[in-house]
Amino acid sequence: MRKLIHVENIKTFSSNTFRVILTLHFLFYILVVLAVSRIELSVGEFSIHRLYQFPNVWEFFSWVASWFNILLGVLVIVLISNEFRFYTFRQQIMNGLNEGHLLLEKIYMIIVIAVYALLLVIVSSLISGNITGSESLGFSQFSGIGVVWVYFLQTLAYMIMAMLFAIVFKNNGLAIVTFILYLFPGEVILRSLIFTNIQEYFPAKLISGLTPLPSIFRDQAASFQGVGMEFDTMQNAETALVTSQDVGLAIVYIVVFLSITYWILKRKSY
Amino acid sequence: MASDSILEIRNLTKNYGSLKALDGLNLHVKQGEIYGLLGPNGSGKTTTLSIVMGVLKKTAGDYYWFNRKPHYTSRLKIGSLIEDPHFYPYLTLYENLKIITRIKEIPESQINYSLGITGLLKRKYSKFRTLSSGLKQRLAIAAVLAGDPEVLVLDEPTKSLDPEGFSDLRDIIQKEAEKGKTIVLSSHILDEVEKVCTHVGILKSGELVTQGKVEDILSGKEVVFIASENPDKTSQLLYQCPFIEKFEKLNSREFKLLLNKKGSPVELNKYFFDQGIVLSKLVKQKNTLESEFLQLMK
Repeated sequence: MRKLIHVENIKTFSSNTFRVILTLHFLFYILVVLAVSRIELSVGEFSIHRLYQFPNVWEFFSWVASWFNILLGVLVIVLISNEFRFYTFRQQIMNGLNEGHLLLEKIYMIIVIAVYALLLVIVSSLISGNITGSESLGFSQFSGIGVVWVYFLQTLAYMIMAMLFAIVFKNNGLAIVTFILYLFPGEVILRSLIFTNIQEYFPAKLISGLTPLPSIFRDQAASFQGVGMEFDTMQNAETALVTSQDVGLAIVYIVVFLSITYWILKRKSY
Repeated sequence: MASDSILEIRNLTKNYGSLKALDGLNLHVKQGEIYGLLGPNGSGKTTTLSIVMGVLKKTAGDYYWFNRKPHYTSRLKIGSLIEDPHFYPYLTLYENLKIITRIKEIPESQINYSLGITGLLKRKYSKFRTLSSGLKQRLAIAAVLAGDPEVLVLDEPTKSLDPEGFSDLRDIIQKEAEKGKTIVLSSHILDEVEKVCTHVGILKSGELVTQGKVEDILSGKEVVFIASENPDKTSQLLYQCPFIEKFEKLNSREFKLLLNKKGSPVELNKYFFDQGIVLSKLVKQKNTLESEFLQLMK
């Protein structure tokens, strides 16, 4: 495994694509977090300011970060389809790796990217919570951090799904377009054609539901309804609480995606 | 299987839809041999090498490296170049070779050695994408040599090389052969193969039409050019002649013949003389791999 880590480090960290997409991801996330903090909105007990305080910050920052998971998916697709484009998977097999090694290399890189995303959310949340909060430092600020681990699982699931698209299509553009089309209209259309309760268990729906709308919004929506305001859109399934069943199913999807990816890699000619 | 067996291929078949790229190929390369795989475009050379290097799935048949079923650890002992050189364009030559040293678990010091013998040491910090096609090919050869592998598999290694590179490559192959390395080489340049290889296998439409030691393939067969004033009778006699493997009419008077192992120009002359034909021309040509190859391809 050590040699695979070395190999993946050499080729990925020197890649401009890797640097550019991660920089964009970082900038977009920070810009959104900063931009929303500038909004002066206060309704009843709700204010934007509260989103940046412990414990709400964990949920809010994870939710914001989840918007940019698609960018991480695109990064994974580019990194993998470049291996086909440059015929370097082929060269590595000839040099003495097997298909399992190729998959392990990419899993390692996906974990590295997911850890970066996790650290970004944790560090930014800690900074924000400590700047805006009035609470004293201590363990209490970590209450509610569980949602960040679920966000970590979500980024892993998105990227592993993206890896499957890259392995199937091999071509950068085709894989990215298909991945995005599947996430947005594709699965929505598929779900609309099915009238049973399995709609909730489609991969994109289930994985995106891992970081629901922060509870502070849900609570506020409920109170608005109390005074006659309509917030139906906020009360759909997206806002439901994440259950351990959802987490378990996301893990099952990760295992299924990895198994299919390995199965394809084993049968592919390079 | 013999203990000195390096590569054994048994009934290897590869189909692309209805097209048979390889049809029951059998081939055996032993320790220390320099095996030249020859054949025209589309004969199955690259397909064969791609399958045995694990990058192309076979349809049927088996192959064994070092008397073992295919396994990635066998490939760690093989340096290979198949088709074009494939490296990361945004990495330097050094970084690209570093990847190979990591995969093969060999010391990084091997990089400078490999770059040195291929004349690329001065360019070691250049990005791969900045190299000319000839230099890219040199890097591919450097990658093949990294780690001092037991076996070299080279598919058209002279492609894109200038005359100097061509000569350097011949020296490298000869030096590696002197070290006892086994080399499997495919090439279109038959003259080079004849100079370098100890054994050859000739492929035609996915089938091996002949294989063996270069001297065995060339020995006992001679190419002879004859002419006579009576071409019709000469042609008739050629069909009955027991010394001839093949012949072709070059013009109204001249014929080109390939003698079999029983025949010689002296016996041929006597045969025609006894039949009442005096040959006005009888020229013996040294048989080359090229002429043998061209005969087999007909």
